[in-house]
Amino acid sequence: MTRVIAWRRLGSVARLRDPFDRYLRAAAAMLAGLLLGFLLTVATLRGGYGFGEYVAGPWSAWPQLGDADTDPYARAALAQRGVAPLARSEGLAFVAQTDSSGAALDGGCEYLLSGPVPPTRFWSLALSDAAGAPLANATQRYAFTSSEILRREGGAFEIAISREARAGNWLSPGEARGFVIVLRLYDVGFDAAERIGAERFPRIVKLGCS
Amino acid sequence: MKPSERLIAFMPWAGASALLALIVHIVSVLLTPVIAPRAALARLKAVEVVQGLSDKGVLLLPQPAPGEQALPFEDPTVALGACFFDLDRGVLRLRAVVDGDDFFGVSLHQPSGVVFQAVNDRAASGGAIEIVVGDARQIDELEAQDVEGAEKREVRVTAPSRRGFALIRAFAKRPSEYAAAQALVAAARCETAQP
Repeated sequence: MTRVIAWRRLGSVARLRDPFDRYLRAAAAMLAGLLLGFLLTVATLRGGYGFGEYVAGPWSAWPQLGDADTDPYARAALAQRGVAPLARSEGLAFVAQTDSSGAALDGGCEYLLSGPVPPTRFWSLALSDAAGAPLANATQRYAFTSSEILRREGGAFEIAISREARAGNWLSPGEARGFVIVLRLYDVGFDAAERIGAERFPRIVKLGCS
Repeated sequence: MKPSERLIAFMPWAGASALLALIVHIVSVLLTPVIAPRAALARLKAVEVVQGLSDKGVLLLPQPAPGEQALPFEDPTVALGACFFDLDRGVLRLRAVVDGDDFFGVSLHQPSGVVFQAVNDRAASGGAIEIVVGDARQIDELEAQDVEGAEKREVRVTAPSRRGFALIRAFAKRPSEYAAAQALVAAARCETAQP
């Protein structure tokens, strides 16, 4: 009840002559400002690594993370997550949180990853949770590299992502509900500023869910 | 009082809130790299407390696996090692032998994880990567000691922060080659030296 009265007082200009009301307003404005500021920080740091996101279909990367002159949002996001990114001369990591249709990756579904990989000396493809930890699974395989992957004639390949065992290249998300796919390119053979398009990246197609 | 008057009276307070929110946002974003408790350097230091450095001064990190990773978003196919630098105690001298076939890289990071320099096996001269990290004064001292005309093999880097770390990454093409990649990381040597 007292709170309601205080609130009404807060909205009343006529009462502003009363110094107590001014204090109350100033305190409310300050609290709101503090809260809003922190919420804004939390929201921006959760979203990614600041400006300059490179999106190609479901894949996204932040090429400027590999440089010394990153923006303050990228610095804060790196520090908050504890990540030490690849330098630009080392490579570039792309993360997919969704399949090619835009639906979030679900551990209960089966996916087929196929198609080209951008020009690079080596690449690896791994599953991890949203925080960047490998996913526990019975096979204890967490990634494939460009050298070990089984390819069809002509060099094309596909990787099955499923809880159930699959023939050929197979990665299991284990019992994880959600997961992300990380494609790491080492010694990248193209300029990230070129922003080559989604057609040069692997497609992730959902085959069905159990 | 009319609603429009009420709105006008409310405006300065809303403006003050918004201004404060902006200041709080900017300050907290700028401070996060300094005060984040679980930034990359802090995570690596926590691993060092448990297992210590190798006799060559390198922290050999476990292969990323569920529940066993020093840093998030590291590649399970890459062998990883770290060296620390503290310029108040001297420059960091890092020397790693490169065997040539697979990707091998050394990157230098500030405590927050931000990269400030990197050298990979393609840029390595004479089969080895040699890096010296120091502040501007230390690097100047080194340059003053240089013999005229002698070939300089090491990469000298002026660090933007007093403390930080180097990450050594060796790519293993196949799981069976992971041990060899780890051996390559373990063969690197890091020492703190006076310039």
